[in-house]
Amino acid sequence: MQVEVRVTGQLIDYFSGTHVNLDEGATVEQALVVLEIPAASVGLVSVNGDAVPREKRAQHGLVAGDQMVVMAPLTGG
Amino acid sequence: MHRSLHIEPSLCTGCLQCELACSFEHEGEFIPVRSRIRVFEFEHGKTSVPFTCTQCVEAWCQKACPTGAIFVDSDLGAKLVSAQACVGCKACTTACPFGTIEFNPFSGKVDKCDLCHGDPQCVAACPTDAITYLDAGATGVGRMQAFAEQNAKGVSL
Amino acid sequence: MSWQGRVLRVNLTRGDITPEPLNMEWANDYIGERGLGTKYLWENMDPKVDAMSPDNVLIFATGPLTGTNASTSGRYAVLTKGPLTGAIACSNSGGKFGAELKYAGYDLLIVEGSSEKPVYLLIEGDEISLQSAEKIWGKTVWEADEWIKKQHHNPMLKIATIGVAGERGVRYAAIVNDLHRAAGRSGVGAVMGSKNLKAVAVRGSHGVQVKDPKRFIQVTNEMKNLLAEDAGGLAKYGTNAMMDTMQEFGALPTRNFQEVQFSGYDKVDARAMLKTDETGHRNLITNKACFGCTIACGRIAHIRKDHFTIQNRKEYWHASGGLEYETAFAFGPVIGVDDIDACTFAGYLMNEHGMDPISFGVTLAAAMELFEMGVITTDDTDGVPLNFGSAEALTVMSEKTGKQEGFGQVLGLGSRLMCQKYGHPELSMTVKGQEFAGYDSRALQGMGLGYATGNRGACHLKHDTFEVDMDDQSGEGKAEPCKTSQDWTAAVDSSGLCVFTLGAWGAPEFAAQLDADCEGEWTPERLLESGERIWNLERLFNLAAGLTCADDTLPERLLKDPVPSGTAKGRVNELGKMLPEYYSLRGWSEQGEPTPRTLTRLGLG
Repeated sequence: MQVEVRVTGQLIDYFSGTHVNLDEGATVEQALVVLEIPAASVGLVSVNGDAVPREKRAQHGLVAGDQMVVMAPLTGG
Repeated sequence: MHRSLHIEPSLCTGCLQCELACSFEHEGEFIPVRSRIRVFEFEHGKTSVPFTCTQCVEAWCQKACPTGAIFVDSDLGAKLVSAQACVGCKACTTACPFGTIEFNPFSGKVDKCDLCHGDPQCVAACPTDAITYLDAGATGVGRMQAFAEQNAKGVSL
Repeated sequence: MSWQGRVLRVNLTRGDITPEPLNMEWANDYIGERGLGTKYLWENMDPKVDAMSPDNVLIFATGPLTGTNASTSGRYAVLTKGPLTGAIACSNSGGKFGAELKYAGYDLLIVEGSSEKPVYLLIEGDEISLQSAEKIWGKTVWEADEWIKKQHHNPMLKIATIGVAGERGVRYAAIVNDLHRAAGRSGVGAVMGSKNLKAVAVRGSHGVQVKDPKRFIQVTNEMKNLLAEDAGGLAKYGTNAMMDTMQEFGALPTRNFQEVQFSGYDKVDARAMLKTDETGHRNLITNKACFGCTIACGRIAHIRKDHFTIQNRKEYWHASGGLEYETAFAFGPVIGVDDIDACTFAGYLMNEHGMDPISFGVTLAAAMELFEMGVITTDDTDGVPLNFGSAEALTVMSEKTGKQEGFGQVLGLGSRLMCQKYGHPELSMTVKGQEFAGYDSRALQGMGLGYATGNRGACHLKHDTFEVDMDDQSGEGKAEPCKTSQDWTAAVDSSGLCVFTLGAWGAPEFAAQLDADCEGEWTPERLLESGERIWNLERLFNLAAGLTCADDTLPERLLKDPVPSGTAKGRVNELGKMLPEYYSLRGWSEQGEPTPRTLTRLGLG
């Protein structure tokens, strides 16, 4: 299935595309593996505008057409 | 093989770790005012350029010295200053067109880059490879390669 | 070792310049820089005095690691009572000035009193003098910097100076060093101006020694390797890499904090700075480092020569400091502007005239809201419509405020006084009179608590709850990470190094470097305890200055108006729940005052 993906901040160095193909029922955690973005480098993932807490990434299943945003951590500045 | 310091200003961020390393190596404390390598900034920091002694083969400093205090380390190709022979007349500081040999008011002698016995500390300290220690006969190879790469991008097979 | 062991005291009223020994007991308890400067401030002034009076004290403070080869060893702090807030001001800066002050042989420079005529302090080796600044009073930061170097035939001088904004008492005037780094917040530049001190120019001839040179080099090299592995995108993208994260998360303050997402964000973010346009122009030229820094997050940028702001002004065609996250937020989303060249030009003006971009941008945002409400009109604003989104308003008002002309004199008061003047205090997005940085408190709850309890007013740099705030948008469990990170950051701010190392380094890494550098044994526990001591001393200063727990609050907008969009949609800041827990964790009373037991434990009793 196809899921829309946006990444923010320096994570663009890992993935600069717009979509990713995943197995049906893939979780957020699995999606990060497919995108080759190290989980520890991710600040937050949101799906369709809702935050997916870190501990829920392995449970949150994605469906076709979902909009996933993979956000870099926030630092100071 | 003689190596020389090669400076690539486009890679310099102006961090001054080279000045810190050089001064620490020679003085045992962090005292950039006594560093033999200096970084200069232009246009509000758009360009930063480290500069130091280029180890001239026919060195003005060596020729100007009346006591023969400046000699060549034939292994390194470096021009070194003998503290015993140096009388602090500073003739070399006038003779060097680059200003890279400097009088040290505390020791009464002159200081210059001595390539750190073949292990230049500025090179070790530079985080961006703006300063490297390369085959003295091939310091331009990196730049040639960069331009060649540009050309390669335009070549169709 | 590491500390120079000397303080330079300059009394501008009498014209005295007096070196004195550093109080080593204080150095051991407060480390250096922010902590030690606070202790000296506490012991040398009455917190009740007017910030703009000669009785205020202005301190430039370095840390024990400043001037060593530890990465990021260029930091120094400016300590004083802030005219913007009436609270303690502790403004941190990088560049090269701080290290140079250390090489001059001093840990701290204390400036007291005020001079009858404008002067600048010149330190060349061991020659220290007060010089007449009559030729540079009224000149910009950049003009003064150039003039002083020429005057003394010394291009190696490192100079911290104020612009006209500081001379004329703009409440958020900054001290700019090395042309485009700054001790930016709380109006420290106005204090310098009130003392008729235009600049401090230094070329040092001493060195900095460390306790255990061999171990020190080993440790700092190890730490540099850690940093190289984990500096994130700072070198490539700068701090403005955060803007799209803030947008997607929904915490990007927009149009005076009315909203948390801005449709124009991608015109002023880090990627926009890297885009080459149709004329071949790219905003970002290169990155840049402060003294000793192996991260190099600084930006060097330039403005399109045909842009309306500078097309007839060749003097701005050169490169200079580019957009950081805070400058980009303050000149972009918070005023609704999406013109990267206008934002960059306004950033130039902040450095040239010496002002805090955060306070200026958020003050302008309040003025725009007042304008759009009809409370002020073009009659008040010199004929310039102050609509959200107007790049003209941004750039014209930046210049007027820097030069203190026309409506710039109102903007120069800061948003608290300006909004009070026009009868709408609720539009001032401030805490203790200082404007918020680019993070909305409703979407980032722990940030809101940090803003509300910050000793220098709304400040994003004195605590770090980003990770827990991103993971959990509620106010639950935010008090402890806020308090712990406040203590920890106080220690880091006192060491001479930069908080941008904290992605890679924690307490053990800092302790290892300090331990090889300084006399005595430095452990992570000692650092945290020192940090807590420093935080509490700042609090005592503020309480003595007349602040109370009533000042630990947030504007109504952030407590009552729900976030309209983003991942935290519908939320308000839960300060009411977080604050009592925070006070309790701190060992403070319900009125937010350190208890006698806490003070005794920290050696402040």
